[in-house]
Amino acid sequence: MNAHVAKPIDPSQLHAALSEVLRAGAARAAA
Amino acid sequence: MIALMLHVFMGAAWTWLWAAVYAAAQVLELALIGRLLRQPQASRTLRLSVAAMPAITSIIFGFLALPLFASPVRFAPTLGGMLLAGALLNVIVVNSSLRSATISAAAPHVIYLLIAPFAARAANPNAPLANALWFGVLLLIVSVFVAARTLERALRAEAAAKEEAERRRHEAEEAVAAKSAFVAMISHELRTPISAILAGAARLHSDVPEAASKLHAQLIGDAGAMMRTLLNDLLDLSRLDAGRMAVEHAPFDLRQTMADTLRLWRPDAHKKGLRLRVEGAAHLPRWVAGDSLRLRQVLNNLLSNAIKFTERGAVTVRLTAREDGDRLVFEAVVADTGRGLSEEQVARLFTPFDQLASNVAREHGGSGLGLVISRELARLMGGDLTVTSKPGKGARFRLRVRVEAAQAPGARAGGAIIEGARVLVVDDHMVNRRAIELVLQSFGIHPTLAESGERALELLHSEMFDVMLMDVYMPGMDGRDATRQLRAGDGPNRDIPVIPSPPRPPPRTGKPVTRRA
Repeated sequence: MNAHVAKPIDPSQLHAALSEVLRAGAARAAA
Repeated sequence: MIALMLHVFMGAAWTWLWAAVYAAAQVLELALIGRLLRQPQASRTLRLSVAAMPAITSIIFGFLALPLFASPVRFAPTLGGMLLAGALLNVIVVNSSLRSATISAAAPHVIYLLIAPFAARAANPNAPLANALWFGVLLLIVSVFVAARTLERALRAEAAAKEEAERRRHEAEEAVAAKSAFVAMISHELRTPISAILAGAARLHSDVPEAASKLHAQLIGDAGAMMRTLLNDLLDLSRLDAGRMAVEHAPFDLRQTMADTLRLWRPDAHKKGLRLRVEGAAHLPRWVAGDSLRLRQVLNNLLSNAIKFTERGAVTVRLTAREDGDRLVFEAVVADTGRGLSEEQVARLFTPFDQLASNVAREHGGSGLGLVISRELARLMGGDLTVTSKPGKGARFRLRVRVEAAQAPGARAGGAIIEGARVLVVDDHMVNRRAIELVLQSFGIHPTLAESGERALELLHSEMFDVMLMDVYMPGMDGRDATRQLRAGDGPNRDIPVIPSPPRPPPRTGKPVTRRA
């Protein structure tokens, strides 16, 4: 399949992924 | 056996001599064939020997008929004729798949049959009907020849039919595979504009002040959401068909996941006047490792169906988890008090593109593929989805999946902290960048956009970011190369977490994400 194509975006997945990564980053910074 | 019978006519010595020679010829033939099979590059001599053996065994076998024809004993010539006729028919049927073998094995018998009347006349010149043997022999040879031709034609027709069926099966399989790939590609391509429509409609809904415009934005959003669900089903099914569906294995809060899933359906149940009861949630383990998104997808499907097809009463969800070796079996039973299903409906429930499911889908919405996908997902997660139901008695869906006990992820800072985060979005596709931007804006994030890996590296050198959303596949420098270069350098964003785009479910640990597990 052509790689140069538009891809679907699932807002809830995006939110979950961002929350998790940012929370982990904040926790590391706090430690 | 034959030797024993012939003993009576020919005497013991000749009979047993014949039997010994014939048995030796057969043993030799078997040995030569075995040697040929073991040696793909066999010598010419060996191949010729194997080809000659049917003729040699026929010569030995048929030789027996000559003394019988010459014998004055009553019925001996008849027996000789029967022996040759039987042997001729046998070699034609046994060697029918190979013409040269048939000719080689049949020729001696035909020759014996032709000279048999001479032997008979020479031995018994005064025997009545000696000349009639000629006619019998000729009739037999012609009949056998016609039968052999008919058999050969039938075998050829059968082989051609088999070849044609195989060719058609191959073509059909190719067509199905091509269709699956096409459906997967179209579904995939259509989801992007739909995501943009949804994000645009959500933005419009929040921005416009007039109630009428809000309603229109809502309609666009609802229609877009419906289309996205249908396309997701099609895409899931084509992935499952192609064996390309993978399930995650990451820790998640099972109780919280169940609570969130059920909370989603309470308003729908309430709207229809149904009770949504949950049993056993308190006894579930909290943290397990598995695929929370796929588990929710299956449960959402079961709850959606249960509420859709129940007019009054309750939908009950019973949750249990039991140990099974070093893993856990999580079970969710969704029972409703709806109209139930007949035996025939139950049997066809998990058949994709079934007419019954299509009719239900037309009447109630959805693709009609939800249960098919759910069962496949349950199986991918090491379990199964089964149903028991009777008309008028409701339906009971039993979902089982295997999970692992997991530790609570440590150091979890409380509260959502994504608002105002500094996010860099890297994607070569303009529609993607715009769609992600709109979604991120709805989270309170105003991202920086980059159209290539090179441009992203430039920005990462000059600005601080909290996280980067990176398209893995891009022309020129792709996501992996850009990430490698970033990690190899000593810029301010060297250790920034990278989320591959499109976003995947949350990572197992707080470590930067580079690929799906």
